[in-house]
Amino acid sequence: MFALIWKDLQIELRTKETLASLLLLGLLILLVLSFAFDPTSELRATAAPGVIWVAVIFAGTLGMNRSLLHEREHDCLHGLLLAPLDRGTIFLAKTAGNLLFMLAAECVVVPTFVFFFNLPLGFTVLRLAPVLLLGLLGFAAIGTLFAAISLRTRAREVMLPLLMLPLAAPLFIAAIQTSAQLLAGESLGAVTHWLHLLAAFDAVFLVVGWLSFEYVVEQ
Amino acid sequence: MHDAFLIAAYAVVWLGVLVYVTSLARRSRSLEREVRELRELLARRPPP
Amino acid sequence: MTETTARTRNATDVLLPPATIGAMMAALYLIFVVVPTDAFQGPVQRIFYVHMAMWLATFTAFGLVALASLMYLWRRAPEWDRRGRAAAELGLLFCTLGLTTGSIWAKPIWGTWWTWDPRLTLTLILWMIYAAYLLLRSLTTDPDQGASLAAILGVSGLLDLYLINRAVYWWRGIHPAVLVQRQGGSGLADPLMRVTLVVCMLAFFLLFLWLLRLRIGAARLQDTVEHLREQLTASA
Repeated sequence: MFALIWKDLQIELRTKETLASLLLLGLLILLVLSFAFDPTSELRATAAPGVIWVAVIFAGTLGMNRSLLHEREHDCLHGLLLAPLDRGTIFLAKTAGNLLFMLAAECVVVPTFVFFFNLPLGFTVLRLAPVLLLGLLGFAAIGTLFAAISLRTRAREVMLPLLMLPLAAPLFIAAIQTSAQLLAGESLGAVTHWLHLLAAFDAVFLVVGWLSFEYVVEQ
Repeated sequence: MHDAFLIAAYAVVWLGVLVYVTSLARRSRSLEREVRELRELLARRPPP
Repeated sequence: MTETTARTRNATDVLLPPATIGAMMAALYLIFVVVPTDAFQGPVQRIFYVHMAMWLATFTAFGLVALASLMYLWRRAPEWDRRGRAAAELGLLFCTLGLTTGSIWAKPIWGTWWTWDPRLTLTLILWMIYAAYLLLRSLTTDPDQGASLAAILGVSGLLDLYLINRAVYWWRGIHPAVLVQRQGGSGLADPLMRVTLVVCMLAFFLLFLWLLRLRIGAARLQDTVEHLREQLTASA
């Protein structure tokens, strides 16, 4: 499994394709959303948690599409399937890879967000970190599963958000609510129920993906 | 004037069901025809 | 090869249409003639009967999709796939009608077509999940594969349901001002109203079952066509 993650990382380091697109897209969405919510008004403080998550979600959706499409374009998935590996392991490796890419992109997107929205840096980063970690883990799991599914359809690129976003609704609600409350200065104790929900979501989709990946990739 | 809402609600339900049934009937008919045509084609072809 | 197009006529097929029509007539008679008009809401309250009937059909349908998905992944029998397909389509139809009738009721009573009440939000998300399920079915190239992919989505939808439910309730719970009073127990004071509701729900449930059987029949034809096509290309 670690060999698989390492393989994805090496490809990425060589081409920097996924990371660059994730990053630029995240920044662009931040920019577009600043047009929508006047970043100088009072509204910005309430809009901020929503803005960062919209940027994370849409950039992540496209990034995960890329990462699985990449396997298909070069017929790598076929090679992977020939290897004596459990399909669930391939899923977990792919999820881990996608999670790492998104986390790496967030390392730039979040500070930029803080900068554009004129928020206190240390405070914001520290408070967003646990939510981002939990949220992105579930997002990577469900995204990897459904990216593999949408690869099998005729309208590949459009299918991923269509299939995944409604199912990921609890993740988004929980992530945005938690971020909003934490950024408003609430303690971690006030949002434990949301964090539990995020953890439950992560667990559900890691297990579903792990068990069902076999059906998704079968020829 | 509230009666308009009542009428609208029941109209929507019956219209929706009607449209669905019509489309289902049309689909079934064309499928049945297709099955018939394919069967004929298969019958005409000598078994290998 | 089994004769899949031959319609097996059994008791259910014979009894279902007249039972549905009878129950539907009784329901319409009760709703528009017999049942007393609600003292607070006026005639609009009569929408409630058909609205509740839609929800019963919708939730049965979506439960069936989940069950059929599980059974398909386990047993791999095409019949389960057909049931799932048919139930998803009907669930979406009744869900759409339920949302529409609810909206038409809400406008005069709540003064708005839509509120982000947890139940409405949950239903809207469900609607989207099952719309995606049907879209996935229609956009896969290999029907067998489409069946397993859709089944995975069906099972995920079921597992997700609890989480969505918790999330929307907590989310809207932060703003408790939106609405507290709902139709629930408040309106049906008159026993005739309860009878009407039960008859109406039964009538639409029978209609749902009837349509479901017809739709499964159509799905069977679809699979036969698929099968015959394969045979033709194989013998060519």
